[in-house]
Amino acid sequence: MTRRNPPALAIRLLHFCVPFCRREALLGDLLEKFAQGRSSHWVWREVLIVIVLSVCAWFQTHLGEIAFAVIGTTLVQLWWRTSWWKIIWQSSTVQSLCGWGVGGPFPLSVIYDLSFHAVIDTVPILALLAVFWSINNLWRWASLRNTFFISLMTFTVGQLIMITVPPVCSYFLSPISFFLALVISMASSRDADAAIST
Amino acid sequence: MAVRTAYLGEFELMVLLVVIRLDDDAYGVPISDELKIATGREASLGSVYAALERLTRKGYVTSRLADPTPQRGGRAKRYFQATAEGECAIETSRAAFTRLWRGIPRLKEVQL
Repeated sequence: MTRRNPPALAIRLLHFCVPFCRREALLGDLLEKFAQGRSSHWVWREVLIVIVLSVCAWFQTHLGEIAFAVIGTTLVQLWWRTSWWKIIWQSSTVQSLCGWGVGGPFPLSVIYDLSFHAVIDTVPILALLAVFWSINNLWRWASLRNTFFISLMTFTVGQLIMITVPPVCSYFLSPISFFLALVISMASSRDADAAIST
Repeated sequence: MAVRTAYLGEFELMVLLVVIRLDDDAYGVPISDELKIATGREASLGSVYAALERLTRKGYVTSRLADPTPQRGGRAKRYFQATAEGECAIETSRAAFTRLWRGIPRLKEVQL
């Protein structure tokens, strides 16, 4: 008689999407039911239900952050359309910094251009989150550093996508990447704070 | 003064009742099995755990992690137990349902 194994990819997906404190007992229960004769299809169905419910629960528990991110994204998008921002952006200092690495050899010029724009986009995120953390007493230098890297990654990916999609899509990609960077940074800082306090 | 309790959803109420019925054996698998017997419908483990998590947040159940067993791939069982607040919430729900039932004469004859 051959011993059946549960679908490895489904189990790995569960590992990836569900936090440890909830995962172990749930995974044990899944394996117990699978050993009782449930099919691989059943395991997949259960894993997908768990992931959908986890995402819904995440949104419910992070409603404050999501609301803050929506307001923050709107404010920053409006700020980028003001004449003050245009004055700053067109100033000789910013323009010379922007043009400094772009004249270099490929692919360094592209990397520089992407990084420069990502850093520029990250500055308002850091300012907004400084306000958010100060209000919620979550201020930590580590959170600021994590946010910097999360924002850099999000904006770089966003810009890479922007290159490949039609210009009309890029109009939506900027606020989406900004919103995602804000939400992920706030959620990760709060989760890290909860982990420290426990 | 009446104690204000958090609202108990229908599925949460069923899960809480099953936790009380199972007593010392209330963990994911028997809870979902018992729900299937009682309702005739399969309750996914994910939804059972989601309900248990909500009940825990409301203070209606507590849980403890048992030692890992080789039968479950070395994974521990999480046992749940209803709290006094949980039992109080069930009583409140039952009282509310009974009051609502009384107002519908044609449902009076339903016998379980």
